[in-house]
Amino acid sequence: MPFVRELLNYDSVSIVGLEKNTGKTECLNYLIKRLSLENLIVAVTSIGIDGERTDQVTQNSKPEILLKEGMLFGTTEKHYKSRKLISELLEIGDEKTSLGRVITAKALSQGKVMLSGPSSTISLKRWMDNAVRQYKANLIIIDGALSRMSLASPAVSESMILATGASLSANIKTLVTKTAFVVGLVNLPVTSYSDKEKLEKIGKGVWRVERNGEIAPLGMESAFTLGNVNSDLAKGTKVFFVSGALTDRFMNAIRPEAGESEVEIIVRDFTKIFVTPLNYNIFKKKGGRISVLKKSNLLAVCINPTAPDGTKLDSDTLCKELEKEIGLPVYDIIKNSYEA
Amino acid sequence: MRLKTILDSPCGFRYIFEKLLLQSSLSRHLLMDSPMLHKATEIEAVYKEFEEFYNLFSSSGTLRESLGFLQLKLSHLKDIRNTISRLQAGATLDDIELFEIKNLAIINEEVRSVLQGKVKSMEFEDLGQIVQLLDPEGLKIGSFYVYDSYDESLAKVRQKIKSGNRYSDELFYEASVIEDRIRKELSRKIEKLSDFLSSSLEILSKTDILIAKTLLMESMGLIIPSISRGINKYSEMFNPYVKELVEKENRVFQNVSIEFVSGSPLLITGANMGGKTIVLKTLALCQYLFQFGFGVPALKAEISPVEEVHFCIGDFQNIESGLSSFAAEISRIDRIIKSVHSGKKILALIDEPARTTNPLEGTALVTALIKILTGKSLLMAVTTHYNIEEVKCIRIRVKGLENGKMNYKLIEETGTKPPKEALKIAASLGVDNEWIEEAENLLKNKVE
Repeated sequence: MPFVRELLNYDSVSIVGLEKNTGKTECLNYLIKRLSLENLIVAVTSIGIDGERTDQVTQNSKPEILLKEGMLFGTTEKHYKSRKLISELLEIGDEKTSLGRVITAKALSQGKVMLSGPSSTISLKRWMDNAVRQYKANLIIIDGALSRMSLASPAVSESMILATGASLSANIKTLVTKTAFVVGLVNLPVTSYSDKEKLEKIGKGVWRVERNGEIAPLGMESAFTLGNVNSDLAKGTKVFFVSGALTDRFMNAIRPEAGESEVEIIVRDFTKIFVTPLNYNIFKKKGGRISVLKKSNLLAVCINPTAPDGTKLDSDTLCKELEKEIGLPVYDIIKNSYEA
Repeated sequence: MRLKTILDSPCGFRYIFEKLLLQSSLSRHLLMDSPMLHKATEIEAVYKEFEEFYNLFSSSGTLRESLGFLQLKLSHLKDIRNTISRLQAGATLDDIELFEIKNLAIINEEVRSVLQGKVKSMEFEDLGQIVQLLDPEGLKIGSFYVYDSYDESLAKVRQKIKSGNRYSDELFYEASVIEDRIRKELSRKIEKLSDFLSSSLEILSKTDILIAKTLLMESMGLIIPSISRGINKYSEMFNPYVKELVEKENRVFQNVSIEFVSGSPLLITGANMGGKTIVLKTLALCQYLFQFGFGVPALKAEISPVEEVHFCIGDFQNIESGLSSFAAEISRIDRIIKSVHSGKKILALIDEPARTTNPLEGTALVTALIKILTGKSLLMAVTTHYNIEEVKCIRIRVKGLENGKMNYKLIEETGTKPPKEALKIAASLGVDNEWIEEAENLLKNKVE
């Protein structure tokens, strides 16, 4: 299986599902099974969906992950207590999640555990840094929560695996389009603007980037507070930097400009983009582009052709259609046992 | 009264509290819950301990080098009072709780190794036995699990689990039965030592607090005051918060000296913007700092412990209870009188009482208040703009404008008439000329 080998080039990977039951957990189990731990300290954790109703519903139905001896793992108190493996408790974090504090432990035998973890991307990042510094982890795998695309941000994890499947849509065509849209965002190119550090340091607001490389604020706190956008300010500007979230509203407001010549919007990374496929496509057709300061490394797309409602798509057709659309290999790891 | 209740007092205690470099949130909680000390002997004992810490940990102290190590260790201190209560109630602790206890014991031993014998006023608990129980293999690390060495049969089952290729529920069940038994035995052994755990938590957070107080004393230039009876005397007193603000603007904060005794109310008069309110705030702040065992912002201070501090300042308007600012203020001052009648030792600091009513009745109210409280066992300072002439009392005033600059010094006042500087000061603020001139004319006519 090629992407396991490629994974070793990175310090961290997040597994993100586009919908529930897209096979995230199978994907994680598959990775753990295939990784050789001889020269590798692997740490796994998850991100909690603190306070959301879905968490309360799914917390107990969360599938268990099969860990190997020697692996580090981060999970909350509640799930640590129900572990089925021998493990050494290394550390208790200060942050309190709805399932208790986050425990860092080391598996002393193989066995099963339910993964939950820090409740925010900031505390997740802190946990990851600590795993590297204190426990010399070489590779950190993050089991993503539903609708938490933010943890796939290159600011959190270096690479990502995308899980999609029949539970996103029972129609292969729709499923392919929806998935391809996300893959398209993940693969957005890095901007050619040379002084990326300068942009990275900007805390908030929308900025225009002049031809000579100078930047000037557009007088907006964020793309959400577009009410008072000064269209004259935007006129003639070719390159914009949106430090926060990129919204439909902002994109529509500057779209007329895009008609005349190429307009580029720079965002931090793809997780900051909150535009609908329709709007994005019109913007693209008019010659607009979105670029990023940091690009995510998409290692693979995995599919689960079955949905809990009984829908079963043809695995091979789905793989083939999706590959054709995104130009990347697509795997059904549940059906096929790929050779390492 | 506990420290948390005065945290947001207008005297600005929170500013001081937030500057404390406490390492553990447990210390923060315990400090906030600590009661205000009333007895001279208690305060003396607290300051004796503090002074010892200060001498050991201030920049010239012999233990200054260990400061970083201790702070690091104390930063891992967790509030495990619940775990200890569970233990004492006979519960069998799980791995997470045993880990917490092991951690506390290790921190205790590390801190003890540095401070034992060096700090005379404090006795550290010996938790070596607990460390041994929870670190049977002598690994000297903080992590924990039910170690193989606790029981031979456990080691055997685990060997089977590890050598098997497949996950086996039966073997895990077998192991967990043995583990549960071990946890139970450990819990009962530790329960016998649980009083030491509780006391260790208390002593460690006390150490944290005393180190933080020491650093604060150093960085703010505070002193340990002496304890007096019936007199409050400060020389070169300053307000740390205002001082910081003033120094940020590259100006110099002017310290003031002030003293007042029980039974003789002190009347402070002086120009607007002369710092009268700041003086009252600082007096309240110092009193609290003193009775919670902190350093005090002055060059020298003698402070008398009281049972209650009454600090009346600003607008008391209370919309919810339907009281106007006048009514709210008057009922607060009435509480002071009631407290004095009940025989309590109190400190009363009142900023411009009855200022919101007409000057005639206002003056009468203030004069009467001073009259009835003179000779009573209370320490009191009152600021006012009214002419309080029908009563004998100690009077001081802010020196006032000198060549267009404010001199904040407090000097003895021989007359009774309050200084007339309001117009000058208003003019110096650059307000409308016509307004000030008209006011001056009106005053002239009155004098003539």
